Amino acid sequence: MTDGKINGALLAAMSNPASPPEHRVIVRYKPDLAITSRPLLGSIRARHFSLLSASAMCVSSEQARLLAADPAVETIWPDLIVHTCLDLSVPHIRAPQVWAAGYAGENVPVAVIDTGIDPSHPDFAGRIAAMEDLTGEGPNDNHGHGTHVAGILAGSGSRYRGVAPRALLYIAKVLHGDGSGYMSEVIAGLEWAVQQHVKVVNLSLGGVGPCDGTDALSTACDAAIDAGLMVCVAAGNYGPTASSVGPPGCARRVLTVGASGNDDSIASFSARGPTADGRVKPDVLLPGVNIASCRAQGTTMGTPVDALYTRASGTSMATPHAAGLAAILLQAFPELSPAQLKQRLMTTAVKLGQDENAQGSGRADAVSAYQGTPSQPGPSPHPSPPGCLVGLASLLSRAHQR
Amino acid sequence: MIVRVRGDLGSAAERVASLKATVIRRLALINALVVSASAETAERIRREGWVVSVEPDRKVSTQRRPSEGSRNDGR
Repeated sequence: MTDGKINGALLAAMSNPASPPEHRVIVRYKPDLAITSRPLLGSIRARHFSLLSASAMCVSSEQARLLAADPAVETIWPDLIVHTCLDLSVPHIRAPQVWAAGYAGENVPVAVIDTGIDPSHPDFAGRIAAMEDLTGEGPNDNHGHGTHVAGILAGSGSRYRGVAPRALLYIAKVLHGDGSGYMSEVIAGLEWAVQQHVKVVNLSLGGVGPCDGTDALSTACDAAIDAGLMVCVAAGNYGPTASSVGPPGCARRVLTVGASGNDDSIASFSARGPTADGRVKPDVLLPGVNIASCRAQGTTMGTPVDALYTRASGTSMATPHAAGLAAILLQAFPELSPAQLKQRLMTTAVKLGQDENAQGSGRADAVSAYQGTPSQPGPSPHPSPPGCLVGLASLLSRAHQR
Repeated sequence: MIVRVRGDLGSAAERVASLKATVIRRLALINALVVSASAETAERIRREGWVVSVEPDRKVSTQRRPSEGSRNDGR
C-alpha cells in the first residue's frame, strides 16, 4: 500500500543500488491541505507549491517510504529533469518523454553519411567522434544539408533540439558541395561506418526510382545491416507518383522513411511504393515538412531562421528523426538487432488510415516504440505546445489517471 | 561503373587492370570494384566468368525538397 503511492520509476530507482542515496521528489498531498499541515520529515528543506497541493524535496529511499505511509500523502513522483524543445516535430513524435525516462541516446554511435558537418556549430560540441572525407573537398559542410540532418538526429540546442541529443556523431562526407555524389562514394562511407562500429546510420540521400533493391547501394545497405548496423534511408521526394521510391530506399532490410507534416498528413512529395518487385515502401513516416535545425556556417540551404538555424523540407529531414529514435531505443534496449528495431518502430507506429504504399506502417512514435505497445489508432493528435514541459506534463497526466 | 565479383577482390582488381581498365576503389562490403573503362572494355569485363554484375556508378543526391518555403506541404 505504501509502495503503491510511489511512482513506478521512482520505486525502481529506489531499489537500484547504483542510484544516488537521495532522490529529488515531488510529494502530492490530499487536496486543500494547508501548507503548514503538510507532513515533512524533521529538517528536510522543501519547496511548497500552492497551485497544487504538493511540495518538492530531496529524500532518501527510507524517508520516501515514511512519507508514503502518511495518510495525508497521496502520491510521490520523481522530480525529473525537463528540457526546452521549441520545435514541433520532436515533441510531436514524443521523444522528450523517452528522454525523461533517461534515454537521450547517450554515447550511442551514429553515422551521418552526407555533405559533412559544420564542426564549429555549438549544438554538436564535444560529440563529434570522427570525421571522414570521401569527396576530396575536406569534411566540413560546404552545402548545409549534412549539418541540418545531423542537427535533427543529435543536435543539443536549447531551442531546436534533435531526437537523440546525447548521441555520438560519426560524420562521413560523401556528397559534394552541390549535394550530389556517386553511389560508390556512399558505399565507401558505409564501409567506414561499419569499421567505426557505429550502431545507427542515416542516409538522407538517394537516386531516382523505381528500383527493386538489387542495385549496388541497396545491396551495400543490406550488407551493413548484416554487420549489425541499423540503417535508416530516405524514401525520396518523387511522390505522389506510385513506385517512386529510389535507391537505396528500396533495399529490403533498411528502414525506409517517408515524410509527414506535424499534423500527421502525408507530405505530397514523399515517395510512394511499391518497389519494382512489388514490396510495400516506405516502412514508416516521420516529420519532414518545414523542419528547423542546425545551419552550417556560410551556407544558405533552406530558409534561414538566424545564423545558427535554418528550415528545410524533404524525406531527408524525416530520416534523421527515425535514426534518432533508433539511437534512443538502442540506449534503452542495446540488445535489439536492426531487424527487431525496425519491427518495433513499425508495429508501434501511429496508423494514419492511408494507403500502405504511402504511409507504410504509419508515423513512428517514440513512447509507443519505447514501451513496445502499438499506438492507438484514431484522429491525428494535436501538436504538442512549443516550449514544452512535455516530460513533466505527461507524467502529471499519467499520475492523474492512476 | 561498379563491378561485383566472385572470390578474392585483390585478384579481381589485377584482372580488371590487365583488361586495361582503371580500378578507382575497392568496396569490400559488397565485394565489388569501382572501375573506369571504355564501353568496349566494360563489355569485355561483363563477359568474364568471375564477374557477378556490372552497373553504372549512378549519381545520388540529398533528398531535401528544393522548392521549400514556409508553407506546409503535407496533405
